[in-house]
Amino acid sequence: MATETTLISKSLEKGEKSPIINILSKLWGTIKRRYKKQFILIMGLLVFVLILEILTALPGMTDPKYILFDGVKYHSEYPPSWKYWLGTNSTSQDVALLILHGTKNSLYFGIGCALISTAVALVVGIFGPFIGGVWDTASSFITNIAMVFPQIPFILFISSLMATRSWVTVMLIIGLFSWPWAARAIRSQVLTLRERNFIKVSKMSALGNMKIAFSEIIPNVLSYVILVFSISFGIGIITEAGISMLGLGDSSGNFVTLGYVLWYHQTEYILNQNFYHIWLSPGIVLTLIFLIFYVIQSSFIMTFNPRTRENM
Amino acid sequence: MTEVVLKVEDLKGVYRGSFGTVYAVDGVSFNVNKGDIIAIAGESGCGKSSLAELLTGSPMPMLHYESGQVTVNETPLYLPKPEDKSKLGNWEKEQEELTNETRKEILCKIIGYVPQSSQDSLNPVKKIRSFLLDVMKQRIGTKPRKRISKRKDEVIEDGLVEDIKPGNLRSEVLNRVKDHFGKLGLDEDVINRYPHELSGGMKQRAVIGISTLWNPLILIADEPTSALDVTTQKLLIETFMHLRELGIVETILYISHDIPTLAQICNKCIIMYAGKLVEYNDMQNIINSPLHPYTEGLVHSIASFNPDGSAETDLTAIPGRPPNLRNPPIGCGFYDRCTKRMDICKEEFPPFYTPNEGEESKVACWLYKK
Amino acid sequence: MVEEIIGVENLTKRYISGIIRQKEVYGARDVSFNIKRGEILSLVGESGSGKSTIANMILRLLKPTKGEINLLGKSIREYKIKNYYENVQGIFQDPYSSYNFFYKVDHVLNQAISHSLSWVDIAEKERIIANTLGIVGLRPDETLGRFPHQLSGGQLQRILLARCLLFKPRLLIADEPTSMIDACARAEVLNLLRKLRDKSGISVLFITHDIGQAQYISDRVIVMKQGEIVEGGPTNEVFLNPKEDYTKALLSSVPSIYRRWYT
Repeated sequence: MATETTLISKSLEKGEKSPIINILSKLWGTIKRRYKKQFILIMGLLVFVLILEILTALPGMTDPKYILFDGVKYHSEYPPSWKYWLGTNSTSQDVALLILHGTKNSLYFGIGCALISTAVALVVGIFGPFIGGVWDTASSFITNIAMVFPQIPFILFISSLMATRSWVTVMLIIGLFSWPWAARAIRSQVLTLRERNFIKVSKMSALGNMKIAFSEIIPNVLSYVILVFSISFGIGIITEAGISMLGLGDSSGNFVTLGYVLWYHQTEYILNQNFYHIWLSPGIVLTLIFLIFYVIQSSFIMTFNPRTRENM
Repeated sequence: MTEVVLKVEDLKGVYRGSFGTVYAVDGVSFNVNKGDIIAIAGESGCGKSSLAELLTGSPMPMLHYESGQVTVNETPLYLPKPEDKSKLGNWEKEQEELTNETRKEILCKIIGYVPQSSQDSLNPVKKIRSFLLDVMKQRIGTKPRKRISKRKDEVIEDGLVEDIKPGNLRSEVLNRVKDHFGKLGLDEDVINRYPHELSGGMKQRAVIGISTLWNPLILIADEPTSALDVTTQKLLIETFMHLRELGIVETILYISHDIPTLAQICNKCIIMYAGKLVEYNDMQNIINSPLHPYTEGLVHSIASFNPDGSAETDLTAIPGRPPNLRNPPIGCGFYDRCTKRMDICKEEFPPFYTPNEGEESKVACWLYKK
Repeated sequence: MVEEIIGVENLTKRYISGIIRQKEVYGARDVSFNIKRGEILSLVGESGSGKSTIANMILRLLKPTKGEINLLGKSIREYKIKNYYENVQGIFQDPYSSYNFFYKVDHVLNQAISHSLSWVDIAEKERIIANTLGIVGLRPDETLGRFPHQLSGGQLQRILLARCLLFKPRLLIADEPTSMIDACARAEVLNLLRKLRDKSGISVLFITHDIGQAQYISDRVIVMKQGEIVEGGPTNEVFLNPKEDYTKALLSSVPSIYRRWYT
């Protein structure tokens, strides 16, 4: 009897913990169990960002001479050397250092976009169908409108309206326009979950809608959320690069991204055969980043598909 | 002397996959006489359906033949597996050839197989007619050709079904189907409809019709009635009996977990537990005087409708769960749940005993050791 | 002492499909019955007869189109959700989907006890859970702390029953509780429902398509067809001397070990 009661007390104590901690520990358990490889990949990426952060914070690396664009052209391009791995551009900036900063900032930008769009997708995708009625109709209507909305032209339009654009504005614009497909995916998942018996059982325990959504639905759509997050991450980076390439990115010049580096060098060097490394190298880094995201996404899809999961 | 149409000897089959090896069918042997309707019963996961798959000679991808033999109408379906591992590759090839060779003949003329939940196996975007023709093309082939059998060292003329010229498969099959579906109580028009236009019972009968088109020797029906309403169930049972009256199918292997349904049509019953055959007996004996403790438990746990009196007052469930077939127990699989267990049950799987002399029954239980 | 626990009057659920050419489908149509204290009432019918629709409406998981449900003589709309579920609880067909596979089986019990008995302390809660699991014939050390896939269908269904008992309900709605569990474990659940009726005086609305089980367990039966009641009355009266043609046809097609259609 003693063992029985201790067992129960243990399980009860667990239940008595604040629900958020409880849910987080469950999420952590699932991540460890099922998404180990993807988790390692994402963690690796974050560690990579951290390394970049440390590297760019090192004394010689942040020298304003190499970073800041003062617009004055000295026409003193150096070819690649041991000191300047990728040479310097016409404003005497170290291209390798620019790419280093650009990669770091691009990744930050991606994380920001992913956070915004995942949050919006979660709210629209879960609460609409779960609460039902007018909310369901409204959320699905908004999703459909946002889905057919011409995103890129609209982003261009907004960007061109603003005289000065900080990177936060650009991130908000991109984040707020890349969620509809994710909301759709989560929504369809919630629609099937809603009919499951365990939701009925929770309702019969007189739990409120919010509580059911948090403790029963969200853990089950977690796999989708991770997928959505990683895809939005990649989309954010590439969209920002595209917009910056068009010259509509961050206008202060303090936030160097890969797109910015590309845009800054394209007009000057794209036809100059001696300096192909200056515009080619940020392009290669961008491609590599996108490749990594492709690997992460396809491995997620393999994990979600039970048929391919068996072979892993 | 009754004619043995299907002989199963110590048949073993395993599932192999990333989940490990599951010993689904573990040493089953029995004979089926011509004209028998044999029930294969047991709870879910006991290996009923796997046994049926193995009996068709071409089990589904994950299920592998391990050892033993199935003889259908004096034709063996499997080559014995060599013990020498280096010959295994060669054996697999030969087995595949044998399967391909016998498969058409067997699935068409000798064994009619109605797989589990087969009413859902009809292609939803095709009319019954084109689905049927596809199946027949698969089984008969469209062009006349000569095949040379390696096994018998003789040339077999093509045309598995004698009265059909492979050139006019289409018209022949359709003619036959009209007649055949009529016998099953289906409208002629059924073949021109899509599956969703048919009721569950009609779909199931259409599938049975397709599997019995060439009057197979044995019909293996895997849970044909389990997902249907009782009135539809009765209709299907009537269909089976009607097929038998018309002489289309004489021998039926009827797999189900529902003992009352089995009691309606079967005369013999095989009870399986944890991949093993535990009792083979007359259907009436299974219900009235079961031999194996598991059979007893199974029969006493069923709430059966009593049309002429009040229901049974007390039912007892079998406690516990069946053993995990990934590492099956050495002794009797029912040991943990058995009320009459002895020490020897845990150590050794019992041989078959025939407690009542003169009966065609056998039971695998140490209780009957003399 | 005969006391009406729940009374259903002209309960109707209408589904409308299509926007332009509207089609009306009735899930239930003018269904009236009542359940008395300490009684097991079976709703019997084939698939599509509206049994589960009625269960969901009584459990307030579905809003009726028309009609009235009275609990202890008071309309269920007058009850607060929390109060209502202390009187009426239910178990469903599929025990596996009644659990969120994310959590251990304790989750459903904790959920229930923290809403029905939120004021008692942990030690008391433990004792109550252990007691309740004892009533349904389970040992806490065998069940608590495990995930749903580690337990059998019968065990899961009994834990759900224990969950219902934590509320000390007057009415239990069992919506095909045995159809997804193994044949030899069904009797466990059936016997348990009978035991609850005998010992705690809980009324049960037992919904099934299996006539044998209905005959075994119930005091009264109601036969349904396409959302309407065909016939109702004491079990033996309906099953041994059916009056309606549909009931006769239904009963004659039930396979039974007591009779053989073909010899």
